[in-house]
Amino acid sequence: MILLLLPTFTKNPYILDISITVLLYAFLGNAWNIVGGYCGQASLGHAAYYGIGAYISTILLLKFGISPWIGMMVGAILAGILAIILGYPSLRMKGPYFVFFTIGFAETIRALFLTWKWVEGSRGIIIPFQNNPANFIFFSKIPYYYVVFIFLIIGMLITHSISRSKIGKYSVAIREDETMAEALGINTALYKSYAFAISASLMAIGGTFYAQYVLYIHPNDLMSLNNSVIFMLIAVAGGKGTLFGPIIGSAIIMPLWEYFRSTFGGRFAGLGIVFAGSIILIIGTTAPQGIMGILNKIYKKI
Amino acid sequence: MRIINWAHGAMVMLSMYITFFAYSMFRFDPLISLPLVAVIMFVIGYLLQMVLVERTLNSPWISRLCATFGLMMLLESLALLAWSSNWRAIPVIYGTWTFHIGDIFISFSRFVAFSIAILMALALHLFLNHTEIGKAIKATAQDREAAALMGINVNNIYRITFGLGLAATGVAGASLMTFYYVFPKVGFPFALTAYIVCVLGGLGRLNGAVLGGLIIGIAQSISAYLISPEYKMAVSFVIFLAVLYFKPSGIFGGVTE
Repeated sequence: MILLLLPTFTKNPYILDISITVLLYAFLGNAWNIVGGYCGQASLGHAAYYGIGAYISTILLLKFGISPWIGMMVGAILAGILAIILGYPSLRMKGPYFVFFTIGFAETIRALFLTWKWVEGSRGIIIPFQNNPANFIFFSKIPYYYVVFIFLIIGMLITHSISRSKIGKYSVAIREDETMAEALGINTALYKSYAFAISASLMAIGGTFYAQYVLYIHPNDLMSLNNSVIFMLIAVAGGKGTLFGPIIGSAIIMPLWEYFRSTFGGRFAGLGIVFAGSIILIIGTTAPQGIMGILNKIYKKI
Repeated sequence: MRIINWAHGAMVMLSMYITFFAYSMFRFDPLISLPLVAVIMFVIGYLLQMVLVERTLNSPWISRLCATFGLMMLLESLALLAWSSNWRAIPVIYGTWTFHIGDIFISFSRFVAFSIAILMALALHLFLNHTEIGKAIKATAQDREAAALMGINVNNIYRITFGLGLAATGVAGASLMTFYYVFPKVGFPFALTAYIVCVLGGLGRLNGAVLGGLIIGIAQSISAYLISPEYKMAVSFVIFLAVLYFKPSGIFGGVTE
């Protein structure tokens, strides 16, 4: 509720920008969480779907004049289909093999876009600015804030309904013991593919938002391995497999990152990453269930 | 040992910097400081496992991935702060030496690095199969609980294994310094290729790693020559994806993976 009213309190574009970043990454972390948290499949290739979503809507806008609102849906559907095609073989793999398969996939896609002349390759695409809500471009940051806020709510509702549905229950069963789930007659590959497709579609929607917000897309900005890792970190730091984990993770990691980057720029530019690295290190070693795990423990004590 | 050490690239970087400073301070040739670097890296690895990785052994492996990734970020940015982003190289006398067999010209320092790598792999193989500690490592990798029941100090074995892994990294870093330059982010491409090679061959298998290395190495050189250098990494990833598509546990991987 407080989040909903934030733009009425502050007109400071810097704070709004950070809030938008937090909400966007919470949305992306939430999408990762469907596969990584509920299914227990740590994908490090999600940046590929993020980038594909951004590229599809942008190309549809610039080359065919189709509004990004529609392009976003097209991107989401295509990313979902791609996730099913690729998901089927990759989801038979376990543990490290799966992680490296997804990394390999994302890196291949990135290399492809970097060298593909039709999508401007390594020059990236600049989206010309026109203040036109029908084209998902706004003059002020406030509409962007509300758009990403609504996206986040929808994303969380989807996650929530999945976790209560058959797919969600099956996913958790797969995470806890895949062999057992299979023995009980669950088509594990099928349900993992479902989860993967939904997650990839949400990623693509996030990608379109990024493209329309920043108005410049480049394969390295969108599809780098670093991005995939950040999605994972946000979900894991907040508490993977929980509904509010990604929001908490994003709300803690992203502002710190921005703060350190803007305060200690120049000579100490690496300090923010030092700090983020230590947070991740500490959470990874001491609190495997993330911040939600810690909160739950405190709550139980009370 | 089923631990993905994301910070492996940072460890390569660290050992390259140690080699570099051994040269800039004491004028040690990389090949002379090589054993020293290996020992330092072993100690670092032992301590790292003791204070850091050990805590995550009982939690899901995703948190191990996160912890080592955090370590990588930490080390890389600390290196950036401490030693700046300048590229540094050691001017070794034999840097420009080449010799040729028939029509093929071979750079001396690369040949030395190649020989060291082969020797290292052989030594590791012998160590794992013919010494008490080596057998204990293999036993622990197979079944931690059973190994502990047999009276193996599992934690110590983990520490030694991690140390050995980093000692090998140290050897690699030191021999790389004879023909390569070092900067804070130097390690990651190496580590990524190394992961691909290992997974391609099947994790935990030495012959798999050698074959995987050959496949990826040849594929990268040929594709850089025939298609374009910018597709080098993509081609190796495509090969990697294709192999895993048909054999999800790598070339030499068992069925029970």
